[in-house]
Amino acid sequence: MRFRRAASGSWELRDIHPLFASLLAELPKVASRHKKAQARLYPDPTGDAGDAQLRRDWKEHVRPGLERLFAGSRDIVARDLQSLGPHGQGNKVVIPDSHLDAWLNALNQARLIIVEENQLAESDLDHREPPDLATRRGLSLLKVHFYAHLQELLVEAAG
Amino acid sequence: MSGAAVITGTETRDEDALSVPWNVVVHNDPVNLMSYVTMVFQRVLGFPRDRATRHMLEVHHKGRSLVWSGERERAEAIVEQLHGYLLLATIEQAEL
Repeated sequence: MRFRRAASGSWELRDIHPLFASLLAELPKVASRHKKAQARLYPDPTGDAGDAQLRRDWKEHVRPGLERLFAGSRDIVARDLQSLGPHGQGNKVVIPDSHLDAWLNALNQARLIIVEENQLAESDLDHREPPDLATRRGLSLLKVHFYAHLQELLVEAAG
Repeated sequence: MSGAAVITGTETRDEDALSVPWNVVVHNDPVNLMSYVTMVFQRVLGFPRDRATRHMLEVHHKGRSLVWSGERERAEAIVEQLHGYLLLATIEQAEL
């Protein structure tokens, strides 16, 4: 897979291996599985157990805005990924410069969700041990690492 | 007279509470990338790259970093922005 800036100013992912194209294609779907990661995606604004009012206000006034932000990011990414087809048959994705933040956000949502769903620990996430791809947990780690690799590329592009 | 004294005392405590700054603290998590956290600190807090990197490393090694201190309303706005970037951040009142 190659990542480069096109003449138009957009960013391109090209020559995407079918395996990684399929992981990309499912990114918006993975990032929308908020059910098991609510606490991590919408954390408390305070560690003070006594500040219940702030928690209530946060849930009522801040969380809806965060939900809209996260959903908007997923929608943008889903549109950019349409060139891949529903199962990742394509091998090129164009990411307009103005969509970089949405991509970073959706990739982060997806990684946080996978980690929560699979109860992955920090020791699981280090790169010293290759994941066992015969297991669901290993495949989940592969996704986390692939999405992290993309994030690194995009952070560099956004910088 | 005694009522007036009570009111005066209450006002004094409120002023004290208002003058105590609120801290924005960012907490470590195993998922957010170091480069991403540095970028977010630059964007949200306006830190130059070296300062952003220093705070990112403090989060990574010590588990938390105090990144901003001041009025409560602004502290809450910063935490909201940091949550938008999916960082773990909280506000806490500074100790006197």
